[in-house]
Amino acid sequence: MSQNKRPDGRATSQLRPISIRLGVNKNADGSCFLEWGKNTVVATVNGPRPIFPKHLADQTKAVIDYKYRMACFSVSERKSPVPGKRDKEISLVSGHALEAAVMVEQFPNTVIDVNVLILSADAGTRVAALTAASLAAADAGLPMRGLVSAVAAGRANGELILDLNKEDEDTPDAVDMATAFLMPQRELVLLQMDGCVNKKDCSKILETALKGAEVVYELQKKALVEKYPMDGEIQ
Amino acid sequence: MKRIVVPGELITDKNVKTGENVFIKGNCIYSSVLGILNESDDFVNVVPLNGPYTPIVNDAIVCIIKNVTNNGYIIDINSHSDCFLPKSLVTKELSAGQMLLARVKEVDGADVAELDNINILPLANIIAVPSVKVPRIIGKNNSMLNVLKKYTQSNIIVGRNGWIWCTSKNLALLENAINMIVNNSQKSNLTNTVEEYLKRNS
Repeated sequence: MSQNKRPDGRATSQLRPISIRLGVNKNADGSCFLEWGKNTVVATVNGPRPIFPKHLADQTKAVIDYKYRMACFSVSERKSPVPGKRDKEISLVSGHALEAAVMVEQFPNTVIDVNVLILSADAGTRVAALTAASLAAADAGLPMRGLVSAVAAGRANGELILDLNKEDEDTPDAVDMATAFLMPQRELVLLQMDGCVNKKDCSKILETALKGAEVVYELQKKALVEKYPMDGEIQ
Repeated sequence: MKRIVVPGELITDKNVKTGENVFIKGNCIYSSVLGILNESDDFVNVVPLNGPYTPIVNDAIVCIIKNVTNNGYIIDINSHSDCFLPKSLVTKELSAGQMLLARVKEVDGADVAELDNINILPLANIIAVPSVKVPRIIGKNNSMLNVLKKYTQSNIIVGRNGWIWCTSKNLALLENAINMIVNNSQKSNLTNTVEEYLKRNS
């Protein structure tokens, strides 16, 4: 991978700036506000609680009800607030990815509500949403095997790059691969892709994504530890 | 030195006894929650900083009647599943909204509790805190609870499920003090600081 700069000044394998705040919503058990470049995301986790209607219950594990929604004002043209095909699909696959991390088998016959709202979108919202949701679940104190660190990688203008923004995504030869890893085990829990790519580039893109996910994981860890300062004044 | 661990973080690769909130994979021990690591030579566990309440046998809990049915009561115990109390276990006819102090007699595989030793509590305020902070609110040998009772002239019953039943002459001060304990539970020397705060404000 070359060290050329991209239009927004980033190197090819550099993430957009990420900032994380935890516990932003007093009504939720756990919550997270995440800014990822120009993406802003709020994620809340509630539960586990009894599931209704009862026929949806699973006797062996908790059901994760993951809702990915985009606000009407999150994109330049108004988005209809009605959940479309895209919203439902992303909700389903992200819910499965989060299920790999949360120890759902400890709460049979219940549901864990995960609500993610995209306030502002600039490509890569599903990975930002999943990163925020896993932080909110950890903030809610749910038992987990690890954290889900998600990142997109792909190709734009013939170069393999990490963390595509809207400009990169709109290039004619764009490849956008959304990935999520269960960290620190490095298990792949989400893989979606747009565009055409050969086998060799595909594995290269996955390698880049894993490196990016490790950076995201360090930021997630830092945010969780910093929420609870061990010393300092009590107020 | 105590430190905070995140879910999935490696605690140790030594062969030691494990307590709560850790899981074993291969030969290593990992944390399963965000919490404070408690590590000694032959034992590790993690004290969580937040989390849902799951009933354990012999817990004394404060609970509220949610609904009345023909043969018993549906009771909210601040857990992920409600529990059922047959009318034969209480001597008096009760109504929805009644507060109770009870003991968990039995817990089944799906974490549904069965109660006994029912005590009827008069209507009062309930302050909800995460159940994992309850040991901090009671303190060593009831030290924190005695401080709270003394300076706010209150009557407090702390349920293990995180619901605190209280009648107080200075409820606002009590609420502030409890918030202070909950928000700073990971810090040391909390009892003295809370005592100073209460002395200043009562």
